[in-house]
Amino acid sequence: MNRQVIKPTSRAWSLILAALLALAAACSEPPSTPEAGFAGLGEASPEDFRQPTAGDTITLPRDLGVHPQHRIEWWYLTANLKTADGSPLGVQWTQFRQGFKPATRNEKTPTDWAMDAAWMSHAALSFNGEHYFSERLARGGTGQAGATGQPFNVWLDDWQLRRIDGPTEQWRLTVTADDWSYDLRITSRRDIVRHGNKGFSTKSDNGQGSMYFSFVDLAIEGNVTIEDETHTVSGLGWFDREWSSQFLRADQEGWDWLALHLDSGAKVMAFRLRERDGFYQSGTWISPEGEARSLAPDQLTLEPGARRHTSAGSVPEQWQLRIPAEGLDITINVPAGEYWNHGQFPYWESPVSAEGSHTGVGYLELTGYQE
Amino acid sequence: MNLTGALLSHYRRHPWQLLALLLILIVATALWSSVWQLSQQARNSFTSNEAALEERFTVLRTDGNPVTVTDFATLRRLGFCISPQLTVERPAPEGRIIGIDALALRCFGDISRQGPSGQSGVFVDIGEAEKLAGDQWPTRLTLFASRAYADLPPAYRIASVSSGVAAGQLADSFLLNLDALCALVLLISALLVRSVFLLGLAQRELSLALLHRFGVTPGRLQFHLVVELAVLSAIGGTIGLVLGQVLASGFGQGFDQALSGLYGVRLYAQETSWLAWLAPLLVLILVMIWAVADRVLFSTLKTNHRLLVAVASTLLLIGVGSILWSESLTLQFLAIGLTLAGFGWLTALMLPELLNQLADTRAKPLTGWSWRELAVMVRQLALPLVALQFAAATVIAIHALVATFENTFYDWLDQRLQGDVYLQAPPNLDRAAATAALARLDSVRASHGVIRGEAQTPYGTMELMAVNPASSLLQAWTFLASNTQAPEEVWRAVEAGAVLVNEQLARREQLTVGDPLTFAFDGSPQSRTIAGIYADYGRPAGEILISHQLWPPEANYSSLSFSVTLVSGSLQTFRRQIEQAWNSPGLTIRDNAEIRALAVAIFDQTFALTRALSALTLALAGFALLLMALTMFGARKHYYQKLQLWGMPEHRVKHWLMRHSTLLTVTVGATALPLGVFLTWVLVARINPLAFGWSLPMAVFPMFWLFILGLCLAIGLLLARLLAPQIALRAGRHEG
Repeated sequence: MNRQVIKPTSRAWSLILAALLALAAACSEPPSTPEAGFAGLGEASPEDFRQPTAGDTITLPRDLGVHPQHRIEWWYLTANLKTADGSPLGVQWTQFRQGFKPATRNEKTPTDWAMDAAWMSHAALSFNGEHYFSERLARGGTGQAGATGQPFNVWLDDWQLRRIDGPTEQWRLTVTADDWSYDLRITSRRDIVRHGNKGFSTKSDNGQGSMYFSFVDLAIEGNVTIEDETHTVSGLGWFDREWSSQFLRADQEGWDWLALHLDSGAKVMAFRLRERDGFYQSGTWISPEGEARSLAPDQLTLEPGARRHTSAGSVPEQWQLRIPAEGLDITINVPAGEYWNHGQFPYWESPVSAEGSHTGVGYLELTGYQE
Repeated sequence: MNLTGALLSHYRRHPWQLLALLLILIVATALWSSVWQLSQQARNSFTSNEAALEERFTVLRTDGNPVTVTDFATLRRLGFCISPQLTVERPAPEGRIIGIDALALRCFGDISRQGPSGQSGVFVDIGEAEKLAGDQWPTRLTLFASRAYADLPPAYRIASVSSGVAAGQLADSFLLNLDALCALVLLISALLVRSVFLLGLAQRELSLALLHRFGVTPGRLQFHLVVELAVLSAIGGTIGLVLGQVLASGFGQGFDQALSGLYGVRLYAQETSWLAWLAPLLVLILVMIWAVADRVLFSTLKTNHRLLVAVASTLLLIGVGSILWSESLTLQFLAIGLTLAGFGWLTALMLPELLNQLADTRAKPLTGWSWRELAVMVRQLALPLVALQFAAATVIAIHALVATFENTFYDWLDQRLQGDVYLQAPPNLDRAAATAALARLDSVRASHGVIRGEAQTPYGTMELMAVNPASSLLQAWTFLASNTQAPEEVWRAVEAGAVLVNEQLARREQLTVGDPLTFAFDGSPQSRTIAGIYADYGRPAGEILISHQLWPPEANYSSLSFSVTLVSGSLQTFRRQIEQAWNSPGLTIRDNAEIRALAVAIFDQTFALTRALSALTLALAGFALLLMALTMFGARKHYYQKLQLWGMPEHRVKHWLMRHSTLLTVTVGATALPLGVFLTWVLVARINPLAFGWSLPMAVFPMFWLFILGLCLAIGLLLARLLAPQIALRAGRHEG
């Protein structure tokens, strides 16, 4: 069976497509065929783009920048922070890129406004049971949005994640939304983790996948301002970098993804891709010493528990994660509140806490639950 | 032979009738559909223009250079909500298209408001627009800001989009003029089709009666006749629509210029849909069926001559009354329609009466017969004659309007374009220093600066214009109203702090000389007296003129321009000197003679359309009259043949025929004169102030009347010439 499977950690990359199609419908009739969509979205067939395969490698800082040969990519940061008085505060920042046509070598942009890609940026804050979300979109090719590996810089409008000059890997993330903002300083304390096979993360039974690496141990401090009140914050962060060229398959209903910072110093990433009759799951275990081990589908179980009824649909608010080989058996809980990112295509993004054989904090992403 | 075949056999016997019907339908449809298409396109353009201007602020570079994609990215990355708009100026008939970035527009709020999805074809993705433009069409990039940012980097400044044009209502008025012309053409063609079709019906009376006797029910007959006319209309209409498309592309460019000259609105691209084709065709078919409905569908309707005269007179009275009393443009046009219908109907009813009375008072049998024969001709040719009358009256009125306008406008233009060259100052110049530097140049004999900006008035935002009242270049102005005949006194009053307003503002708000005018400008309220009203043809926007001393040196302005009189032959020297003095290379210096030529061209184009349409309508009416008379004369020719049998030489009979035909057309021409003069008055004194905001002096052009009468005479002579072979005894042939 030729299963085209999205990767669960893909963090809603398909949202870009959905968002752009929705936008296209909302603001302009397509100039050519409806299939081509706004500004020729979908003009290039997936075959024109490079598909990652086992054997592809990851090189820094190059792979922090854009991959014009690939259709989809994202830069994804989640942070479990605490204010000065110890209240938990969650932060998410994501930037997506959707290419329309693979770039050819030596090709100059022939015109000012030709849209080679669309960019989308999401920022969210979770504090005191409240969830704040903002979304930005931009066309590629104008300089309004972009990403470079050296110096590391990812931006869309005035939202920006960039490296600060210095000997250590230090970044600064600035986001300003309508009535809230954050300005965070991020220090990486461990080398990157290459998921799957040296960074090639298998996403389906037939071996398709994406390139995927993470900075799993980020120390974060800075300021978060909500409605004119500024909080000094600090805590832990997780940064994902991923690129691929695949599309969603019609029978795939969504995915569940989580990344945890355990108090033992270990880190864990696990995902589950929900299909009509079953699911594909995988993950990575990172020991307190920083040793990463990929988890095959049969080496973990990730099961949903009680559900929470929310304004946009019912979502599992409790999860059970077991990795027998590591003696891990934990219950993951979502704090009170609703954590929907109400962008073009709503999805759930919440901070979580873990208890059981291990304790810790992390982030949970759920897609395909909105009604 | 089946029923259809039997009915259609009429056209086998009278192929000219079929041709006449088709020709009328084709020409009429081509005429009105072309104008209709343009006015619809313009209507959409106005809507688009207003939608496009919803964002009120634009970002400009302070160095005066045009903004680029880099400026867009720079400002976005600084966090400003900026959205690009690329305007591609394609000449008509393709029209302007606007490229927008839907993604960048999101920060403006409700996206559905920003990109009017109903305007497909006008708004496209900015990348698409750029691709369409290529190297072929000029493009203009505008950066819109969601609000008037006060904290832009120093390299940029915010400018308020001065819509200047209250496009909506006024533009509608302009287009209503065209729509009314379309309706007139459609009605004239309905009259003509009716006349030809009814003639055919009369000729077919016997065969129709025969069919009825063979058992064909009246219902079936009616159905077949209606289908016959509908099919003819569909065929003629389709060909006409294709021709109309060609005509519309021909007119498009001039119309485009007219729109931008009058309202600052460019013609936008339009997608043609099958509905756009089908709708006029259906309208045509319905109007044509309506035109013959009383005879085909309700043939039992009895008519009473006195009653008809009373109805026609009532129509005329209501029409004239509405023209005098109504203040709505739509009502004015309806009233014109009623007046025309009433007048035309009365002519058709009364003229034969009059001629019969003349016949009764004549002792000589030949003269008596002659008047009666003329009366019969008028009755039989009533419809094409009335159509000719309408067409002639329209041509007279439009000619008067255009001629008056040209005279007034050119005088006004000469007054305004004093000086040799026109110079627009770059935006970053210090106003006082720039003015002083210009005055110091030895290549300049005299100069006159105009500062423009906006003032808030109780009537809305108005254009504010400031000049130096002492300038020698202003002394040639004449005023529509002032307390004194001497312009220099008006300027002295302006120097002392009074203001002038343009005719549009004065009319709209009923302001007169001596009235106080309050307005706020640069944050300070002002109350000034109106010293005079000046003509400002073309644009509908209201404008206030003040002395330049009232404009504080540090106050913002939207533009600064100068009219300059040069020391003879020193344009190159002047250019070099001013570019150096202002430290602004590449200034655009325009020759006033060129501006005048451009303005004249724009207004010529504006009226070319109306002129062409009215002239073509006249031609159509004349042509239809000839065709009708040729067909109808078959039933009358034996009277002329009898004259020959009774011994009158053929050339004298032909002479009588010529008298009849010329008298017929010249009389119709003569009845068109008062109608034409009345229409002129309506256009100048009623429609123009309502549509454009300014009025024109009423003028009559008797030489043109003579020309129209001459044309009618020529049609009459041509008619006699065409009919003459029919009365020759040897050529006589029974018909009918």
